[in-house]
Amino acid sequence: MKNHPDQARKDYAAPGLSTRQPPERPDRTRPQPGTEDAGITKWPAVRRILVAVDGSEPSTWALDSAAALAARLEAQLAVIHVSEHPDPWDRSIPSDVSAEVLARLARRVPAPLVTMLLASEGEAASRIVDAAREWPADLVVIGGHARGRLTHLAPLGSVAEYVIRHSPCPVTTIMRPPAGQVRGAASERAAWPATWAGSGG
Amino acid sequence: MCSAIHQPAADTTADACPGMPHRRVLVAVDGSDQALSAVKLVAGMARAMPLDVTLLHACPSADEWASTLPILSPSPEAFLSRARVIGQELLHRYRRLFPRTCHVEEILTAGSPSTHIVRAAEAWHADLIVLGVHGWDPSFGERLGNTAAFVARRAPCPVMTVHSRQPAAKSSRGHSAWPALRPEVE
Repeated sequence: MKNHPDQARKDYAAPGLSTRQPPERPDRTRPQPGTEDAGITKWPAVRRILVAVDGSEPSTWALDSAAALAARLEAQLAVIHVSEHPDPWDRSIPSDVSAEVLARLARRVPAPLVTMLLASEGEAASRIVDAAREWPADLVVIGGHARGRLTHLAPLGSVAEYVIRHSPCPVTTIMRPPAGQVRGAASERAAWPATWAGSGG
Repeated sequence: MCSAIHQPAADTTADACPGMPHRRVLVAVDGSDQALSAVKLVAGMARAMPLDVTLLHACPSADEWASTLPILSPSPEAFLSRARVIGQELLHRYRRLFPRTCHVEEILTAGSPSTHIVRAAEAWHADLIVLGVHGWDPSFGERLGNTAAFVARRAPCPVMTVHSRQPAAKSSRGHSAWPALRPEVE
């Protein structure tokens, strides 16, 4: 039978049993009665935000939202673009596609905010999750947009759903423009190499 | 394989950003480990930035009791009353996790969580919805839960989905506030 968390905490506090409960295990989520914040010393902080972008409008909203949140939380912001191979038999994709897209997008946010620009090639969903795991990110922000005939299976888009399910950290999905931003105003999609625009959502 | 192509010095004192920061955050809770992780995350954010938070919990409705829960409680009134009490206790417990400077409201409702979450977000003009993810489909295995998928598709604002990577999370799929009712009916 599994121990109740409260019981585990008691065991941890008891002399002689501390070796059975590692120090990182005690539950700090419940405040002591009457003290509220007292005793809670560690909270999950969002210090590193990874935003996945492609040429789509939702990914631009995601970048804007992530940049605003990073500025407010004084967090580091990394922007990742994954170039997918449109033709599995043709691997001759110029390596500067991601760099071009990232450079264009990075101009949307204040330069000091962006800690890192990541260019990657391959399957977008797994690359984003790998990057979130390796950095490591505290939050992933991604634009969601379902395409094709399988929208009922993946209403947020297959990439966004994969990232939500496999990301080691929370994921914010942006499917609407931020407040005050009109749909279409942020889109620069026509100017981008749509053929090679990878998936960020 | 990622390659960092630009890494300027980290200085996050930017003022002008095109996006709006999240100020009004709606957190949907159901007593699961994932919901607790979501509340902890927002509580941590509330310590770094001013937030207005609304905690929402949807109890099972009479229709849900009739379709799935008679085996747990022979009386719908007793069951629903008990569910409301547990929901209120849940909201109070989560509310205490937030700093005193954070304005926290509580919404206790009954019925479909996904519908209530979207409606509350629209009515309250939420900037962000935060909810835990614990979906499982027998046909497709682990996938985005119905509630999270519905909310993410219909929500008027960004949706933050939070996993709980604790091992206990695997046993708390579905409406996790309900197991709390079991000790009394067993």
